[in-house]
Amino acid sequence: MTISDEELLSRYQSGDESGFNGLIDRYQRPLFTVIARMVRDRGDAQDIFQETFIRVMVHNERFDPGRKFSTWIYTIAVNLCRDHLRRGRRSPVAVVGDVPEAAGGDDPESESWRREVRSAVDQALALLPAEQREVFLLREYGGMSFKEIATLTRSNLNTVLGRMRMAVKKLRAELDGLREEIG
Amino acid sequence: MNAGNDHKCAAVSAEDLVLFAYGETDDPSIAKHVAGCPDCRAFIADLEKVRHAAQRAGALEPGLAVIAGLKQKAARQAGAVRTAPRQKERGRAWPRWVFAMAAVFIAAAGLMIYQYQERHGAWHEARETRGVPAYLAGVGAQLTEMEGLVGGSDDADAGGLEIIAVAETEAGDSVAGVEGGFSLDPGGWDLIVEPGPNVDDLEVAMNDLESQVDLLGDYDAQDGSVEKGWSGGGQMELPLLRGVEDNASL
Repeated sequence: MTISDEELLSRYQSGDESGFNGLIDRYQRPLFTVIARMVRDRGDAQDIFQETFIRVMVHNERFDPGRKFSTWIYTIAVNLCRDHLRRGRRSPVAVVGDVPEAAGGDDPESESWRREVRSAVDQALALLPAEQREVFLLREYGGMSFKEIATLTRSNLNTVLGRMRMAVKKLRAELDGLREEIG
Repeated sequence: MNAGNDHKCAAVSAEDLVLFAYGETDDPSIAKHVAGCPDCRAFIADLEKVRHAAQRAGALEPGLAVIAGLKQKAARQAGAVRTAPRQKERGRAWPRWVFAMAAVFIAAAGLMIYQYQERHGAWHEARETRGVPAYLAGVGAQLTEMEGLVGGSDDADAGGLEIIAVAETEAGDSVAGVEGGFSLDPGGWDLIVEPGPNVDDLEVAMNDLESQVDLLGDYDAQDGSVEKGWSGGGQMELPLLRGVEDNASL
């Protein structure tokens, strides 16, 4: 049986570090992917990723057991990303580029194709308005439901769906060059 | 149609189609409609192409060093939890009237501190403009060596750290000065900094503080500030300064 995120946090709260390690293992890919594609800089993404977990560590007792842990941790991460972008330390339209991807185990040919797709997707994502990019990343890479995204962004569900619709529309247009291959 | 164009079908909204495509609606009428509507099918097909490209782009990883560092911190913190039971747990056996009395006492002390600060005119302003040496002079300590300094929110109840300065008096005793008390509980995490003439105790306290500082924020060398506080509950901009060399920027 899979242990829930909330149970892992509870273990950590009672002094069992394996609970926190379990959360790191579980969230490192989806969370870092969302952060890196939001801020578009590896070093900054690493800082925000660490800061997110540190806040979970330090403020773990503030977690409301009535909420989902995933909503809480993504709320922290998204707020940190927003602050970062607001401070304007990095251009939001820079390309992720040097962010290493998770090992995929593909052959060299498909690996090269994946790099091409990744570059195209990153470029296309960079052109989206922040709130549309946020919704798309949280749904596609964070695995959050639209309802959870609405809670996280304090928007109503239709607003979130509208943003997703617009994001998809723009991404489809931007990825037009990949039409044959991704179809 | 494709997702680069507008969704034209009036029977089902694009928003409902998005929900449908992600399996977040169980409305059977949408599935039935989509099956017979080329426009809606094309919309969903385009959406799936974008999703496919996004998945092909792959996940990203923070790197082993980042993960190892976090797990190390988690181990340290978990160890601290195991060896130092929280105050709340220790206090559970106490009768409620003790807490009530304590609350009254704290409220009275808070009022006295407030009045004191009001009387001494713009204490905080002085701290900002003249810095910690002036503060230490105000509490009768001579700043000969700055061991650690943390700037914080004026509102300890909001989870902020208060100013803490460690200095040596002219008599050679180390002291720790903390505005508004020595017990800090930022974010529900116990950190007790006890003042006292015993240098060893003070070092222990400052070591605790150091670990707290490391965990609570990133010092921004450019503007001398650090962002702290739970992001869900608002942000606090706090100055964070360390070491004698930073003293010049106070």
